[in-house]
Amino acid sequence: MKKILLVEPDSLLAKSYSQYLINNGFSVKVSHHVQKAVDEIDTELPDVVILELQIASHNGYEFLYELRSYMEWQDIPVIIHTSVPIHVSSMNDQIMKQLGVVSYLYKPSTSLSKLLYAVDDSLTVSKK
Amino acid sequence: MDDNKQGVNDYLLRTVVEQIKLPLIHIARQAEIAKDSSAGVDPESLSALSEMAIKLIDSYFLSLPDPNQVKLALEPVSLSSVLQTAAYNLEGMAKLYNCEIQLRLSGKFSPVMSHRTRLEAAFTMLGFAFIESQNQPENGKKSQVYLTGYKTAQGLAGGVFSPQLEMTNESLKRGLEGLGKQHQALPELSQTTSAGVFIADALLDNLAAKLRVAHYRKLSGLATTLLPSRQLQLI
Repeated sequence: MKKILLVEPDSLLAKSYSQYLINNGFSVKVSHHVQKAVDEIDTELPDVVILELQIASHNGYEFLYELRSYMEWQDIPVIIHTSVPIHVSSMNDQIMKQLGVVSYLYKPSTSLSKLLYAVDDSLTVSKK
Repeated sequence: MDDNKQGVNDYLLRTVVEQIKLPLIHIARQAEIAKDSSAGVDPESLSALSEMAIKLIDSYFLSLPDPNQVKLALEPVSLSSVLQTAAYNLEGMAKLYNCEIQLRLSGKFSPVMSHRTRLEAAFTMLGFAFIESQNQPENGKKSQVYLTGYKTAQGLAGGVFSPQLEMTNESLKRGLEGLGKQHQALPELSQTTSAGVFIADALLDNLAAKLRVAHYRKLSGLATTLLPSRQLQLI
């Protein structure tokens, strides 16, 4: 079973997303904040990380930079799933590539099935 | 209305619109799950989310200056009953977020000169901002948000507190000044646009009261000081 780490600060949304992904055959661990996410990865390497950029007290970009600073975590695909529209974020194709971001999904317009598709896609890409 | 005030209202509206997306995303995703599985949509959760979205819109409208009214008519208001109503308003959202609302009133208070509907809306909005931003305790217990009233040297203070808030008056000021300029204006409090705090600030501003960071016992929070009604004290 493929393992997903969901970094989602809103506990209610996290419940919906994890329930849907579990129903679709994934094992899901949820972190509401950055430090717990780092601890989770340290304990068990996920196959893919789904990350909200806006996290209270921290910031998703810093988490991404930290993730990529460790050699053994550099290949974990990351899907950004956020309420920040891409045009107001500081993401562009070059930074996304540099940070191993496989998809940037704008939360309000991303259905659960679209998220699932992005997860499946990221696992196919990481296998290649 | 002068241009500066209009600009602030536009920024506030933008913040509210961003915030309202959140309950709508919840509802949309829950409906999607219900469609894909035999599990139905939880009516309690739909009710709490939609009620809060409506309260957010209503509170925003209350915070706008009334063009037909030069000065808001203040009346003697019981702070304890206002806090009680706000706690009641927040019950549904608190349950949804596995959070417990605690009402703490230190003593019996004289009435304050204020406006009941606006004051209730201000505390409800602050409570809403706190509930959605609480980290769930690791031990599976509920997080806690306190609605508190207590006496100070200046008058009566009312506020919303939690054991988790790490904010200073400086960061609150910076955040409030950044209204509309940042997607996450109060990162020490919440991952969202914190519209509840901005609406509360605007509502309190209408009541000539100020939102500030406060400490109550071992809790930190956002509070305001209200002046007791001197006339009523004499009766």
